[in-house]
Amino acid sequence: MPQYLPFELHTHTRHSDGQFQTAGLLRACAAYGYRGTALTDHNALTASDEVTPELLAETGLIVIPGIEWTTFYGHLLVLGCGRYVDWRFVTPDTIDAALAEIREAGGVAGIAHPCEVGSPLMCGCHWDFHVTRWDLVSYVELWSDPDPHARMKNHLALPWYDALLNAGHRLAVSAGRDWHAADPDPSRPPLLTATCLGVNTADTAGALEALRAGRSLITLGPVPAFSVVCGGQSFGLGETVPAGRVSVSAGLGPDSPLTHWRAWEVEAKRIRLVMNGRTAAEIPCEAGGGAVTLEAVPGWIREEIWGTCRGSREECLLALTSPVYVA
Amino acid sequence: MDKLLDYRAVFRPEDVRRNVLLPFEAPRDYRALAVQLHYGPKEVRDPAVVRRQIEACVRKYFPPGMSLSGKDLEEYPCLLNFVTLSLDCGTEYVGCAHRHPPEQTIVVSEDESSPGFSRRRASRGPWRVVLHVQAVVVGEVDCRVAVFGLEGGEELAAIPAV
Repeated sequence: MPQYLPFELHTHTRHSDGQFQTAGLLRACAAYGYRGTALTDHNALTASDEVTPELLAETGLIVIPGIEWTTFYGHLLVLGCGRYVDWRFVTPDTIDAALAEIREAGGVAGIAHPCEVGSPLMCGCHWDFHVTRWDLVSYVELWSDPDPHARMKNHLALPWYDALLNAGHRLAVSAGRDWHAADPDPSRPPLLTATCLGVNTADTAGALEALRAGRSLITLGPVPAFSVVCGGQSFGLGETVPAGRVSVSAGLGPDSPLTHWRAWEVEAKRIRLVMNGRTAAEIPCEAGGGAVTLEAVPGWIREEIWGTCRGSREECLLALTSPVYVA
Repeated sequence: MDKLLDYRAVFRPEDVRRNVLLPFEAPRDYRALAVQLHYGPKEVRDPAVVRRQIEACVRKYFPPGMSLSGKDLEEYPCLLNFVTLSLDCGTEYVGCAHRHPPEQTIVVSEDESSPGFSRRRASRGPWRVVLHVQAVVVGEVDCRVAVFGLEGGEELAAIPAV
C-alpha cells in the first residue's frame, strides 16, 4: 500500500528569481511539515548542487531535483531528468518532441499554472503549447500560490483539467505554492496547500514514480481516502477499474503532518464523488466517509472534499484526488 | 581583461518571444568569464498603459464575465519589461539568469559561478549568449550585453560599464 506524504512541488531559490538560499528553502519546507519538495528554479538546475547529505539529514526531506521550463509558450515543471534537456527553442508545435526527450531522459513533466494570464502581462505564463502526446505529460498543477481560491487562474484550471480527463487523457493533480521567499512570520503561515504523493518508497525515486503512476492528491488540510472495489479487488489512484457495478469507499484519511490549516478554520463538510465531470454521489463528512455503489462507466472517478475555511460560510473545494480510471 | 562580445539592440513589443543568439569565441582559457546585461526602462507605471494591458489580458485569457480578482490585481502595481539571458559553452548549457534586476553581472568560473550557472572552466573555444525577450510592454527597450574574459586578479568593479 502506498503511503501518502505531503510535498511542496513548486519552489524557487536565488538560482532564479527566488529569495531563498537552497538550505533556507529546505528548512522552511521541513518546518511546515512537508516531507518532500521539488527544486524547480526557472531554467536553472544548480540549486540541486547545494543539497548536501548533511542538509538532507537535518531536514529529513525527500528532495526532487527539477527545473521549471519557463518558455514563451508555457511553464513546464520537469522533475528528475537524468540529463539537461534544452527548454529554449521549443515552440507550440514542437512540444511533443520535447516531452518525448524529457521522458527518454527519465524525467516527469507537469504543466504549471496552465490558466495563468499570459502576454502582455506575464509572457509565457499561460499554457499555449499544442500537445498531442498527452501520455508524455504526467500531471497538471491545478492549484498555484498558497491560497488556491484567491486567484482566477485556479478557478479556470479545474474545468480545463477536467476537459482533458473527459477526452481520455490520464493526468495526475498537483498543487504548488510557486514559493519564492520566506514568510514574514513563519509561526503564522498563509493558507498552504500540499500535494500528497502515494509513495511505495520514501525517496526521490518513489516520489517520481508516484507522479508517473497518478498517485497524488491535493489538499488545504483534510486528506481524502479513496478507493474503488470491484470483484473483490481494490483499486487506488491512477489505477484502472473495469466498468460496471463498483463499490466506492470515500472518506477522510489520517491528518496530514501539516497542521497549520487548523488555524484557518478549515472544516470538511461533505465528500463529493465526481465521475466524468458530474457529481455521482455525496457523503457527509460527519461519520468520516462511507461506501457507495456506483455503476461505473468508462472514464474517471475522483473524490473531492468540500467545506469551509477562514471563517467563511461559503463552501469551497478543500481537497481532491487524482482519478481512478474506468475502462 | 579582454572584451569578447559587445552587443546592443533596441527591442520593441513585436520582438517579444524572440531568442537572440550571440555567439562569441574565447581565444584562450581565462580565470573567469563575466557577462554583463543591462536593459531599460524596467518599469512601466503609466496607469493608462497598465489598465489597457490588463484589459487586453482579461479579454484574451478569461471567459466572458470573468475578471481578475483583487489578489490578481495586486500582482500588477506596474508592468515590467523583461529580458533574460542564458549561456552555452560549446554544446553545454551553462545556465540562465531568470531574474528581474535590469543590471546584472554574471560570472562563470571553475571556483564559483553566479546563481543559476554551473561552475566550469572559462575555457578557450566557442561560447554563446542567448537573450530571451520576455516582455516589452510598450515603446522601446534598450539592451546591452558585454562579455569579458578575466585573466586573474581583476576585480569585478574593474569591468567597464556597458
